[in-house]
Amino acid sequence: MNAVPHRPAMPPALATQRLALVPWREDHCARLAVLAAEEGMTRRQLASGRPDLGCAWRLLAAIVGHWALTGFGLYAVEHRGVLAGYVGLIEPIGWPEPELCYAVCVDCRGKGFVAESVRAVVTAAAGAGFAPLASFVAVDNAPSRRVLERLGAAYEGDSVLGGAVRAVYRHPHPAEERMTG
Amino acid sequence: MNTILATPASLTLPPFTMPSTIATRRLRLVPWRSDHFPRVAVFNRDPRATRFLGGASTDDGAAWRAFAAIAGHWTLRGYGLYAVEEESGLLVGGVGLYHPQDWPEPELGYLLLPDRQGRGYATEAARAVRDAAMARGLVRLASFIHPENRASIRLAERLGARAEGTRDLYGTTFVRYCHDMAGAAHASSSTLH
Repeated sequence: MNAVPHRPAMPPALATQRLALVPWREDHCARLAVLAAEEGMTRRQLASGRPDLGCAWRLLAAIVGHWALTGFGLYAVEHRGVLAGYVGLIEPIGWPEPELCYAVCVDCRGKGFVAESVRAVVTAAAGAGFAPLASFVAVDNAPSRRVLERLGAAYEGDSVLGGAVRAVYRHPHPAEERMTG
Repeated sequence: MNTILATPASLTLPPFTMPSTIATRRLRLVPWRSDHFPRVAVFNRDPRATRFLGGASTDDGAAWRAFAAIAGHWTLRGYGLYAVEEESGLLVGGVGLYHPQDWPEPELGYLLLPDRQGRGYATEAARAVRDAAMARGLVRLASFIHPENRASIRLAERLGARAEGTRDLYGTTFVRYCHDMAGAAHASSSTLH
């Protein structure tokens, strides 16, 4: 197993018109537990089907640990001081490249927060020196694929990742987006 | 409001932090780096080495998340498990204070990789962590040890810890070993001279 390749670092915080992309704090834990349950992010929560603060704290620790180990990671997305979701880059062991990930709490959907926060990360990543970013999605997850297409990401083909077949999408470089948009 | 989402007492403890590095006679206790992971992954796949820690797993993705959570524990708490290195920089284990949200109290945790056991490294590192924690004002420190984990029990006893009851953690019953912080105070004050 090779060491993680060297990547640029991301700024610790970003701001958009309506959202603050900030470092995680322990007081995000309760809303993260709800979001993790909504997203089915941990096995124990999947089994119980309800928010679990202990699981959420470990997830929170893994998210902030990713920042400590790699210099980039997921931001807490806040709207008016309340956790609305997460967005950012992850590159766990075995991942072929950094992945742009995002999720929005159920009670914050339908407001365009994904597009707004993803655009901020894409722009900041380009500025930091990252190559155009990929997102990986289960091939049969049609709603997520439509979201990626609306964000302007291009389908590149399928790839086996973490034991499952995923569709690979490539987000446009901000400069390309300006030229075509 | 769902009671499970109420803020637990562990989130409102007064700030307590540990130094980011500690040096002992033979070892360096340092922050975790990505290049420590390969040896952690080997450990995670070893059924014998992990038999008291939930068992082996070939899921490197889950192992990496757990590894990242150990690093992130420091960011959230201001203390955590240190990566323990020999002078050469080789990772020999993880030792430090462990207190995730659903843990009953801060734990002095220690883990030595199989190819570096039998040299007294875990005792040397755990004693240094206990003394540093004591010197920074921590008054109570426990280790939760599987009743069949003889090596870990011997280590706790070498440090002067005493068995005081049990704790159920994730469905397994562990013996709670209570560390002798007064003895640690004596030891650390005597080493200052």
